[in-house]
This record gives sequence, structure tokens and C-alpha cells, in this order.
Amino acid sequence: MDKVFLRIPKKSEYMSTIRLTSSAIANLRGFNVDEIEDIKVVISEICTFFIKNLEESAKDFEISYQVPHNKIIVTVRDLNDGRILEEKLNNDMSIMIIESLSDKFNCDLDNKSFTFEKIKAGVD
Amino acid sequence: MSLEIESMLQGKDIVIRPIGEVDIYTSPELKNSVLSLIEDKKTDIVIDGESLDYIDSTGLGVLMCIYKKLQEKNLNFKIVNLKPNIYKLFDITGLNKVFDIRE
Repeated sequence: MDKVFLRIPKKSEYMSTIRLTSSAIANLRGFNVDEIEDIKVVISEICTFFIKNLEESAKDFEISYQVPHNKIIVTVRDLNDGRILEEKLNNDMSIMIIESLSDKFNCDLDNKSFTFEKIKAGVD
Repeated sequence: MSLEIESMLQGKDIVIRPIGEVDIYTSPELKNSVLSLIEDKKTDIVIDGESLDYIDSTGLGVLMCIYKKLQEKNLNFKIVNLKPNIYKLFDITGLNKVFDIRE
């Protein structure tokens, strides 16, 4: 199983680069247009959530992509110091979108690490 | 891809056409541009989504802010020509029930 790692500054101007990279990887691994769009939106919303809720930004985002045959597993870690309160997850528009568009979503606030899975349509 | 914003007077409305992507980086540009138009012109606003390729939660927040500002001034807000992938986000967040969205 191929793994791809992207380490990129935690700056809002890099959001389009993150989306483009994510689209390229999902496209390469055979996801359809709607699935690619969902993957792009979810990754972008995870990064946006970290930017909005953890002010420290000297360190990078570390994004890992794993692509088994039927799905993509993406983990986004904010490498910055600091703490995100659990209440920030409640009624947050980013979280609402992430939960709706991913097939599985896990947030580890202690490690500032969010992971989601998107399953490829029509593949067992 | 960045964001360009076109605006034109159409009848009594100002039509705003965002071209490109509205995200956490570009959404302040949309917000400032539309809010200053509202202050200057005091007319109804139409957002034309024909050339809008992407919007995130911060962009949706900006639309909410524009909507509230127009409500304060008893002005109307309408969104037209959204692409299906963009409309999906309005549906997920329930904003399709808040805004006047037309084809």
C-alpha cells in the first residue's frame, strides 16, 4: 500500500495547494469526481478547523495519505503546541461538513490529529 | 487558484460574481468587497455562483454575515446559479433553508 506524506506550513494561503495535492492523489488512485470533491472538502475543513481553533502556527501541518485498494485514509496533524477545547467540536460548521462527507472520522484532540476515511464506490 | 470578484448593477440589484475559490484565505476579500458595496449603494444583493468553483465553511460564514447585514437594512439577498457540488454544502449545513437560493 502506497503512503504519501505532505508537510506544509500552517498558513491559509497554502489551502489551495493542499486541495490540489489531495485531488491529484485521489484521482491517481481512481476515485470518481464526486468522491474527489468530498475528499478535497474534508481535508480543507480539517485544516481550517485547526487554523480557526489553535492560534499557534510556527510549526507545520503534517498530512498523510494511505490508499488501500478500496478507500483513502487521510490523517492531518497540527504539529503546533497548544490545546483545543473539546467544546470547539460542538456546532462547528467544519465538523458538520467533515462528518457528512467522510465515511469514518476520528478526532484526537490531545494529539491534534484528525483522521478520516473515504470509501471508493463500487469496490469491495 | 485565487479569487476574483466581479460586480455589476442589474436592474435595482447589485450582482456579485465570485470567480474561483472562496476559502479561509480568500473569504475576507469577498466579505470586505460586498460589505462596502452594501454601505455605498444600499441595494439588494445577488450572488451569482456560476463561476464559483469552491467554498468552505468560512465562505459560508461570510455569506451569513452579508445576509445579516442586509436584513438589518431591510434589503434582500439572493443566491443563484450554484453548482451541485457547492449546493451540497448549503444542504449539509442547513443554509439552503436560510438563504433564498434559485437556479
